[in-house]
Amino acid sequence: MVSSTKSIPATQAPPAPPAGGRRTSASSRREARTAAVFLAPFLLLFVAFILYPVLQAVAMSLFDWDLLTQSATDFGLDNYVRMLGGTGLTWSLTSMLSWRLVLLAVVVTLALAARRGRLGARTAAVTAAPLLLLVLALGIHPGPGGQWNDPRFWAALRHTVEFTVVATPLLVVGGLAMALLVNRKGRSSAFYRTAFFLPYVLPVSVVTLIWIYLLNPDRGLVAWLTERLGLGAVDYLNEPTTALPAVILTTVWWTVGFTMILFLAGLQDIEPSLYEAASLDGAGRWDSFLHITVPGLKRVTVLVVVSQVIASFQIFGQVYLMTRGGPGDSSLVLIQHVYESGIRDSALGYASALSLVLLVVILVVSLAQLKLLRSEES
Amino acid sequence: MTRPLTRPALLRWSALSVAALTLSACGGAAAGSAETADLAAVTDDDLEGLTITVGDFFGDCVDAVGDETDPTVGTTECETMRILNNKFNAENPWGITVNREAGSEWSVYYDAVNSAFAADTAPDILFMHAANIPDYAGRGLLLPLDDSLEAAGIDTADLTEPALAGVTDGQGAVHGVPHDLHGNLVHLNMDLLAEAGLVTAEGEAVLPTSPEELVEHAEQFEQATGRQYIAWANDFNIPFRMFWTLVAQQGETVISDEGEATVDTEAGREALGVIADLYSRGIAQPEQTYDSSQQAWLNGEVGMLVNGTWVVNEYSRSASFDYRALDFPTLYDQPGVWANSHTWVVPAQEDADPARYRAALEYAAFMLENNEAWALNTGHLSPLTSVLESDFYQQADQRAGYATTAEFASLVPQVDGWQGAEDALARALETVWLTGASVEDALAAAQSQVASQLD
Amino acid sequence: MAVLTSPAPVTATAPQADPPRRRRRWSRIAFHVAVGTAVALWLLPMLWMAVLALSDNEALQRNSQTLVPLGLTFDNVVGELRTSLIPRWFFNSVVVTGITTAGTVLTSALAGYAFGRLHFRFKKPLFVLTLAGLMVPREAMFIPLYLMFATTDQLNSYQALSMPRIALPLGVFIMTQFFKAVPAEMEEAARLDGAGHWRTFFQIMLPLAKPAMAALAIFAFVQSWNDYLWPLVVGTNPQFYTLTVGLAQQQASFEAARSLGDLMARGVLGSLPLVVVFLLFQRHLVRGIALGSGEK
Repeated sequence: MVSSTKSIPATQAPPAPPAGGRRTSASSRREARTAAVFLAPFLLLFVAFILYPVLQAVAMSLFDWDLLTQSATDFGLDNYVRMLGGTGLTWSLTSMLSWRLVLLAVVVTLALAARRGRLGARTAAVTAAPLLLLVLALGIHPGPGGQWNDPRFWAALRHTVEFTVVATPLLVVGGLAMALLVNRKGRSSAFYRTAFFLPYVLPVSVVTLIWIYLLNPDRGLVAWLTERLGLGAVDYLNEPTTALPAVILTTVWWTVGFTMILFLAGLQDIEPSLYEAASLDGAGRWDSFLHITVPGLKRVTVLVVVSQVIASFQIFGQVYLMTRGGPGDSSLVLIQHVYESGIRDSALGYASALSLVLLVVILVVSLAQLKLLRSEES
Repeated sequence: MTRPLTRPALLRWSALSVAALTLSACGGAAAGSAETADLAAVTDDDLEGLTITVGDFFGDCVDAVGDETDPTVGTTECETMRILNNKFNAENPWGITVNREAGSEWSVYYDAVNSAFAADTAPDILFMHAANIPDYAGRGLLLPLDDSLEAAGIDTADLTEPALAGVTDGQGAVHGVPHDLHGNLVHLNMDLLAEAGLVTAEGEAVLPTSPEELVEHAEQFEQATGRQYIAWANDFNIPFRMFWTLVAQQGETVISDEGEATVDTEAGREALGVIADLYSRGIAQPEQTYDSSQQAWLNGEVGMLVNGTWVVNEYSRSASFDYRALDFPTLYDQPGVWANSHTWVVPAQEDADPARYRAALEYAAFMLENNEAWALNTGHLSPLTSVLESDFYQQADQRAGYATTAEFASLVPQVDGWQGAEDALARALETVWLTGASVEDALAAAQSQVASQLD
Repeated sequence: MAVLTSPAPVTATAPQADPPRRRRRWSRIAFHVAVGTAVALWLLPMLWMAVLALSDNEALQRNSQTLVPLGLTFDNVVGELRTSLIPRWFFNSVVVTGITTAGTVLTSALAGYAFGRLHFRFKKPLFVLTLAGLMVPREAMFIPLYLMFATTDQLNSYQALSMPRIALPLGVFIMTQFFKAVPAEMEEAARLDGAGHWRTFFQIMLPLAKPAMAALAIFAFVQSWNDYLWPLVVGTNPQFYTLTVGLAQQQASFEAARSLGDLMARGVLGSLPLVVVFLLFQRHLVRGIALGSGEK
């Protein structure tokens, strides 16, 4: 069964002429009534289960809200103090140095791009300012004898960011490479596409089941291979340094087929005539790739990056099932912390405060996407 | 502290959500209302034909058990529990029926229990670890039982001292009926120990009597056999349980009976130092899990496995070598070992029906009376002195080797906030071998985090 | 064999001056060997699961590093089907996914038609509100929802599992775009026949929207079937686990590691439904994913 993914009417239907014409007030009233009925089911569910929970979370985060007794006490910012505060905090230039250097590099890149005119000065300033603040803020850390109020929050935040920063490029580059590899005519390429995509349809619990044992030092195939190669067997999920990377590897295997599909759709939007023209001009494969394929994929790349960043920040299932955040919190992520604080420790107020951090991060990323796409279009 | 929001106020907060749903019940149990219930006044007629629900985490295994009512045929925790349940339903004089609510796996059991309390749908009687009781009792969610035990014919004098202490809080209130006691034991591969010369002429295992001797034995063992001397499950909180054990053996505590954190002490430094030393010498392996340590031991690659009482019967069946289960060795002045207790608790219900409370307590009393089946089928220690000292118990497989654990077991005191504190403590301790933190720093961090959790 | 739908052939690697035929053939063979090997490695984890599922549990205790079934047996698979709750979980997943998918498609189509074709007051602010909903991380905001269902005693119910997942701003957005693009003449022709908004919607618009709705349905289906966190939170009773959650619960059990064959058999049973659906409907599935991500 071979056909084109291009048959989505939404993209094919010609733009509608402006609707309108004369209408009586009676018919427009009737139209408004119809609209209300048509919108009601969606809006009702939307307000009740998507918008309202956000407001409720904000409200809950201001209380010590106990799950077991359903009581809310101590109105105030205590949850935020517990989350963000600490005792004996100091600031130093060297704390989290590598992270801050990377952020600084981004700021410098932005500045250079602005100078060369590739980026609006305002956009650059608006993006760079919060980044610079972040660079400053990352210097804060507990001094000798001091402590964060909730070290687990910072561990979880850090691992969530690490997961996002490592997994996203892997998924983007891997998905693109696969898409280029299988973007050919013929049954064999179609088969390769199916194969690369197949893991994506497995439930997360099956994916983790397979990889928990695949990576098991006594039972798994990975250990079998590394032992044959004389490298010995590593218990990846129970070593602090390898636990998170193992989860990332599993995630890439599971979902890279998804990004491959998106890139395939993007490749297909590129005019074939462009390649023909280029090859007539004597351009090589690499030149074509660099000057036609890469620019042509810009839009889809932005979409892939943003959707992966948003998904990565909400990672939970793989971590919870493979490592439970361990060993020693070395792979703990934010949603697990929300889950455990709220349901295991019955601190719903604190859990709400934690989840609002995610809301803010994802809001910022989404807005950045909107901005990027808009500047792209203009 | 600001004025607590009352239930009506809470519901106003949730008004919008209620608009989208039908409000069928208000959540949460009425705290404290249970204390007025007089269970002794409940008559036989009141109990006649009651149906109540029970929650536990031992699974269904209905296929294996069916309608069996003879507890001696059970071979696992799940089978024994279901058979005892059948037996109660078949034999209790009031015709009470106890139905099991489909329960969760133990790993998510307390999440489900929390949800049930939040939704006000807690069963009539609930299985619970003694160490978890304060989290619920402190919120008024559990029925205090001290005045009612007698009415159900429970003889507290027959309970071992640790078992009773494990369910009694600082004010002397009892919130649970002990079902067993389970602590750390050492599970030995006698063949390997013999190979290493660690078995006496009489065939008794030679266990270390000091931390130094432990290291010597390990080295002697490794030289003789080329195998690992001692192993345990790092993902199963065993390091924390070892720490607790070694502190207790020095006659000290990790937390006082009044709920004060006493982690960063001389005894604590000694205990954590010993554990860290075992890791740094490569005697213990920090990445071993429940599964991998057990598998290695069963495969004859480990001399001594530190694990609980619940595996004794299973190991006895499946070990392909000479197996022996013994008390955890005493490395300091006095015997002592971390232990916990499975107990039955009665959730406070909104209607506070004394008859249902009493029925629940009768179920717990029945379980205690039939306790030897549980202890014999699984490996758990009985909480009853009469069972522990009985001939048939002493003569049962392996039991003589570790029945004494029931006397010197050290249970967590019933103090508010313990679960969070234990979690924080375990995490702080393991930074020593996971991230190379110093013993001093780890204990300082543990002390302050435990203290803040117990606040 | 069913294979993944092919996008229009693209020539990123194409027209070159013809190299000698033999060299081209060799490079083609080398390409297929390389990609074929990659594919084999890619599918190896799934194959291994199937192999272990068909192996004898006792044999797996001794050795599980194998690519052929040890003591080939169907006992694990049959046993899991017979004694476990898998059939029940499968049923739950079907119900929840069914309600969610149908609900999402229906509410999105209705709202999309209103936003795309009808005129009424507050249209713009309502649409902006819907777009704002796109930015709410649904995974992360589960605490208030959980409280909502807990306090109304609706944990462990189908409505708790499905209702919060029906409203999908993205679906409304997609359907709005679609209906906006339908030529006005089609509607006017119906109007001349005396059809009202309802008849126009059901007789003209919905049939037109079938492909878009199919893609949306597939997207909602995959999301719902593989959802883990929300069903984990609201389904605390095994009778109300979905397949994804139920399979996950047993991995933590003490016994699990000692019966690897059973464990893997569960994995196979748990993944088969969606793998079959995928192989049957992959054309729609791929389109649904491209659509759902906003690429199309």
